[in-house]
Amino acid sequence: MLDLAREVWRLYTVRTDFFLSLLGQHLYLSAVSIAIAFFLGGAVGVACARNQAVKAVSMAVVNFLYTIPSIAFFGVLIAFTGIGDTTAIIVLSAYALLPMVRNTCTGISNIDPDVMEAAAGMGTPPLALLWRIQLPLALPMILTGLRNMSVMVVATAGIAAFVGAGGLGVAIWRGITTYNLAMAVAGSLLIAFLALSIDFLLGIWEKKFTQRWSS
Amino acid sequence: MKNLAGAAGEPPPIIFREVTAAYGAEPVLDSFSLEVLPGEILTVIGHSGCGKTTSLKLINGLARAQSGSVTVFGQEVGALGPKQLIALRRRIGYVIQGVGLFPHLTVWKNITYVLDLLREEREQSRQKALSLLGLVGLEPELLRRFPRELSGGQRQRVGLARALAFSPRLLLMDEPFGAVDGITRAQLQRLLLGLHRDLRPTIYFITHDIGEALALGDRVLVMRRGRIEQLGPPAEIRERPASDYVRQLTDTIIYKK
Repeated sequence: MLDLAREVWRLYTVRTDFFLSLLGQHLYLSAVSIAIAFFLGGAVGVACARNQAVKAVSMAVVNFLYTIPSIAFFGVLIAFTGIGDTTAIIVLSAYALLPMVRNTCTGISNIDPDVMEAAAGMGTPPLALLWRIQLPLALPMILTGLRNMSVMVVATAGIAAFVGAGGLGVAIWRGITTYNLAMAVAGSLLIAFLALSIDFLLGIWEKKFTQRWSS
Repeated sequence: MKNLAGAAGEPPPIIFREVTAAYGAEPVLDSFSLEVLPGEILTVIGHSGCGKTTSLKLINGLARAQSGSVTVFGQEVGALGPKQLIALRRRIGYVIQGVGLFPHLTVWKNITYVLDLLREEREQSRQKALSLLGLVGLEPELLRRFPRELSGGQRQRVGLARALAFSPRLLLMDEPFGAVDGITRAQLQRLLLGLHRDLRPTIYFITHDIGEALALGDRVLVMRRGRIEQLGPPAEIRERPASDYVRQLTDTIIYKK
């Protein structure tokens, strides 16, 4: 056990550049997927909160996407988009849609009806209603969704190496195929560390935004 | 009795003509006709489901009539497009029982909400908020508080200040003081009467408390099952109830006293 730890540490120090470049790729894949899911999922979530039919259809679709095993999802997509970053980003954003859509929709739907009535009664146009009232009040829920989804994307991005995309999964993949346990562990640890850091940082952000006015 | 006619020659700000409205299959207003006089406080009372809230929401277009017409400031509400409806609502102060203050905005930004929609300049908006706070009897320190940091009575006062921000000639109030304790309610009622004396807006005031209806109203409208049971000055309601229903209502207050 101690030998393994020592060997992992040796890998980090000797092959720093290799791991840093994997870390960079990992962050890139995750960030792009998170951004796509954030804006697309947010927009769909807003639409869901406005229309029950849209909600029924979108929730069915994103729930379905969420239940596909990631390996199968990657495998099927290779047939269409080939190997590489594109496939990885599509799969990662598709998974991340569910928490974003659900939380945005719930956040908006749960706004106090009195608040909505007051806003309407004072003559708020639809777009101002969205920007000034609905999105700010749904923000705590939306940020929670963003945080859950980001952690999930960073963790799942480890599998992206299996479809030829980069990222820390490359170290894991290489470790497994060459019976180099230390290499696989080194990659996994960095993914875990990255996921926890993002969870922590987004957690601080979430609090900062909402602690004063929400109970 | 106060001067009911308001400024001479001013047309009634609100006119209901033969209005019928239903909530699902349930009729809530039945051939409802009414003229609200300029500058009066009209208190509207009746049991839950008598149509009083629906009648109020027809005035600012939050509810729609099946037939008949509602005319506000000379415009037929049902015929207005979305933009005109928004413009109309910005001319009407709106206060509800739950207040509906925006929890993510400070007292200041709540009060100047409509002004901010119209992009009023910052310092001007602050001055306006301060003077409105004074008007409703609140300390200037409250300006930067959030609604959850206020008491129930303070919230109602902020709600009132918000409704008065653009100096509306018409206030719609739906059981505004229904959820506060007795002492606070009496203070708020006195505040409202004082504001009305100074600013003379027309007020359409819904309540389920006959004592409040008689104390605040220049005229009192008793509603029952979507129809007008009786309409008249408080003294008339008290002394010459038009039906057993009205008598029952006024009897409750005599027992209380």
